Amino acid sequence: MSALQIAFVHSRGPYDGPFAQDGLDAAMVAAAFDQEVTLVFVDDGVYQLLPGHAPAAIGRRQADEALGHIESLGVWRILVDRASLDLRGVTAELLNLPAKPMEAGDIARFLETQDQVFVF
Amino acid sequence: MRFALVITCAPFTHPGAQTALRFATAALEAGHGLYRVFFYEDGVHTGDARVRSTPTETPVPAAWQALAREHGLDLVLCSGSAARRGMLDQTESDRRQTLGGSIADGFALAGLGQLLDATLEAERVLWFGP
Repeated sequence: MSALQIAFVHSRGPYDGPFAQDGLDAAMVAAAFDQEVTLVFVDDGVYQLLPGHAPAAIGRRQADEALGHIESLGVWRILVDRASLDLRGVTAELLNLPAKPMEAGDIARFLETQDQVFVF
Repeated sequence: MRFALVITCAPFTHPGAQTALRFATAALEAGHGLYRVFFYEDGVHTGDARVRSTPTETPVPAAWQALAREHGLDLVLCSGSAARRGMLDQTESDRRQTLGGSIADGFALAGLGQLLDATLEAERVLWFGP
């Protein structure tokens, strides 16, 4: 079977429930199974890409632990919603990974091309 | 159509749990297939043998068990989500010397690989959750 194109949309802050960690774990599994994985960060999800997490203070595991392995696992693209960055005063240069800022309409059109879209 | 369902809400706290059950019932009645139902995050409570409903509620866990018996469904609880919620099967419970397993009959624990497998094998994957 040929690889599926799967987009994982991350829309929550890194410690807002289990979603950031679960979403990255699921994306890692998909990448490990050689699927064409894209990570899309929108809304508070963009905070997942900022460096300097100190989750021990609230007894949590580092939510962005998996992000360090993403490139070696062959995640294809990392997209980030430009308006979500602007609203939060975050520039793409501050982010941990080479995420590509895109307009919301372009992200929507991209998601339409995917075989599966999972939202966390 | 061969569906896979992913359920991320607990059986009695969000309407998504009922919607998923009703969808599954309707899809099977219409002759569609259900490749797997993957219970994830709070959804794993659906497979907790100790969950009880009040007499006026639809007992979502029991309804899934009945549907699974009738149609041979693969009901999978995410093992990581289950462990975080204190839900172990008997084997795992024995290993950790705790008070006993609490996974309901008809449900099985498995990892995220089963979610990905369902994504690859089903023609549509539908998520139900908050």
